[in-house]
Amino acid sequence: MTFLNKTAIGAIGLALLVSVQTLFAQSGLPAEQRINGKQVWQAFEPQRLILQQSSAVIYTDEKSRIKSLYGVVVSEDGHILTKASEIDGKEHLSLRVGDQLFTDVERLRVDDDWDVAVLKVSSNKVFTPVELSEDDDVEMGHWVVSNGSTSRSQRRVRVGIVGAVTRAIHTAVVLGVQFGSGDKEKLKIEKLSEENGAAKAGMKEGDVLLSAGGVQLKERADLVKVLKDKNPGEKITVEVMRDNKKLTFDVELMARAADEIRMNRNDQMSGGEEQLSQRRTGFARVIHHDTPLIKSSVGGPLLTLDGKCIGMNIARASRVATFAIPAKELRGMIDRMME
Amino acid sequence: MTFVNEITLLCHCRIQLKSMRSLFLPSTVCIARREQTAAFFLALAFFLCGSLEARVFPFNEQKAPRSTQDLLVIQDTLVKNLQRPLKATVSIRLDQGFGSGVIISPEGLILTAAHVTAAVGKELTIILNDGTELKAVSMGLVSQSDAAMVRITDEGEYPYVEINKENDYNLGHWIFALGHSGGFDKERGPVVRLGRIVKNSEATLHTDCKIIGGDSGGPLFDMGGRLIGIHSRVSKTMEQNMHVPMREYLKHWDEMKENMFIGNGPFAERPVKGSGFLGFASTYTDDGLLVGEVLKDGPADKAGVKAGDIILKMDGEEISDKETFKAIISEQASGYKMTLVILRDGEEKIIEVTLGKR
Repeated sequence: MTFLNKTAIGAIGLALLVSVQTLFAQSGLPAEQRINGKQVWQAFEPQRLILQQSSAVIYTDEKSRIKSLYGVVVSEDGHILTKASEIDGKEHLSLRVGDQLFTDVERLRVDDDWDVAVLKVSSNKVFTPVELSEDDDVEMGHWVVSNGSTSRSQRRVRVGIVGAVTRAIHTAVVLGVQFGSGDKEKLKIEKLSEENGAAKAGMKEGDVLLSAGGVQLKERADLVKVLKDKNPGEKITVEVMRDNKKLTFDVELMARAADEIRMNRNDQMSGGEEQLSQRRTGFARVIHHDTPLIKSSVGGPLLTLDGKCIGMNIARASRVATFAIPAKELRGMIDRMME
Repeated sequence: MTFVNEITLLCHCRIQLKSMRSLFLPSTVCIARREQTAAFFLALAFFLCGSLEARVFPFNEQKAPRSTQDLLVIQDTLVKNLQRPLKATVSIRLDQGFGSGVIISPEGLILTAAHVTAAVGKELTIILNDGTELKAVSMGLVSQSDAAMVRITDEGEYPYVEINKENDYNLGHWIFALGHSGGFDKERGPVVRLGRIVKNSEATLHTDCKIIGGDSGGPLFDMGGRLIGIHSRVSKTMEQNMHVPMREYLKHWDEMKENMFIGNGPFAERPVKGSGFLGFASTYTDDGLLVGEVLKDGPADKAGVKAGDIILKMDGEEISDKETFKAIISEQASGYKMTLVILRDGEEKIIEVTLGKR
């Protein structure tokens, strides 16, 4: 080694020493150490083992290669719960539990209220069902573990915490009208959606809304309040002013149609429709957690640190929220479905 | 661990280049070095912050939790320190949409983001978790870093949180975010998310705590429940969530309290005097300032001003001639809400107009 090289190495060594503190301040946290990074996941090995045995990977393609969804093993005989709407109309159902592939899978029943389907595997295998929690609810701030990605033999985890109060998630309903953008005549209809209730009931462009559901309307926010706790299919009486005459209509409220959803900014921030579950509202009670799943990784069990199953992931709702059906409601469903 | 041991360890680690490199290149940390790592971090923290009173959590000294036990410590700490921050996290109603904020004094001083208030002296509505609505007014803001201050004007005693003044939040530290994601939802309340600091620069904290529209201006906490940041913005990938660190607020504290608008953007646009306009032609007649043609969809049109109206007063001042009218307008910037008293068909009416941009 020449004198020049030694000096160079010494200089680099010194530079490293000196730059250590700035390095510390400005470099990023390595990916493995992030909350959903490989090193953190290692701490969840006990829970991963439960997913390995008691969660199912569900395929809807003929060759059982493309993972569509996950499922929860709920009986030794091979009954598996999953999200119904994601496998609706799919002919080729197969699933993997552990490293075994099962192709003899039938769809037994569907619960439309909860969007849950029961699948039954025909096999000699004795399955290991999840251990459902006895608790009605789970506290905010508690760790939860879900299915993340998967290989043919290994299930992996994704983790988060319970983020908000367990509650009902209403489906937003609309009349099917658009108001103008000006400040005056705030409740004057500028456009009607032909598919929705207002147009079908006979309302027209230019009508000015006076009341809805018996409530006088002064601001658009008043209408939002009236519609807030209504459900799709309900009818509501709407009074309008047209050419100086008061008219009354009976309007059927509908959920915002999929092609009508003007994606709001939050949906765009959440990666658009591709990342969110299509059916993500209309649940009587859900556990709300922040685990970053995508729509094809719902359907599996939601575990707490003690290894108990406190729910089944049912919807990726936004960039910050995933919903799960609580164990209490799952128990009721299992009892009903397996009668 | 005594003081002397820490300093010794610090020197020891600095001299041994090899072991130090292993501290910063994660893949080569040996299990045997864990004690050394923890000690080094503790000493470094002491060295950089100069205070051993700063709360030190064991999980912040680890690269990653290693067992269920480690995870339980994080969980228990979070659950224990969540209540006070929950109560102090507020929703802020804006003209279009919602933001969040956090109460930091019992009298109702609030910290939020500059892009939420967007102006000094603006009237806002604060919503507490139980739905109570309070009047508030925006104070100063730092438009280049997205910091802002608000105060509740309704008298009362409000739930509040402590600010972390020690600047001891560092890379890898566990933190939690609160906010009214997507807007105020009484049944749901504020939403909590857990994560770690992934990048720490002077004016921005990056974390993997996912935030969304409606969270802007909401609080970021250290695991002790002390305020360390305010949510500012996100990038398209899930991992990039950016917050304004508390040190930025502390730097401009007095200026914000004195209602100063600092900087020239990008998080708030500095109001330019004389940039506001109403949007109508007018002539001064014996009856007063007569409105002629009203610009379609202009600010006056949107507020309901019509041709033929007579402007009697602007912001309480009588319009005795056209010069008075011009003088009043030239003082205000776009976005300013002006109260007009007009005469129409023999009746006096009050109209509020938000000035547009010239």
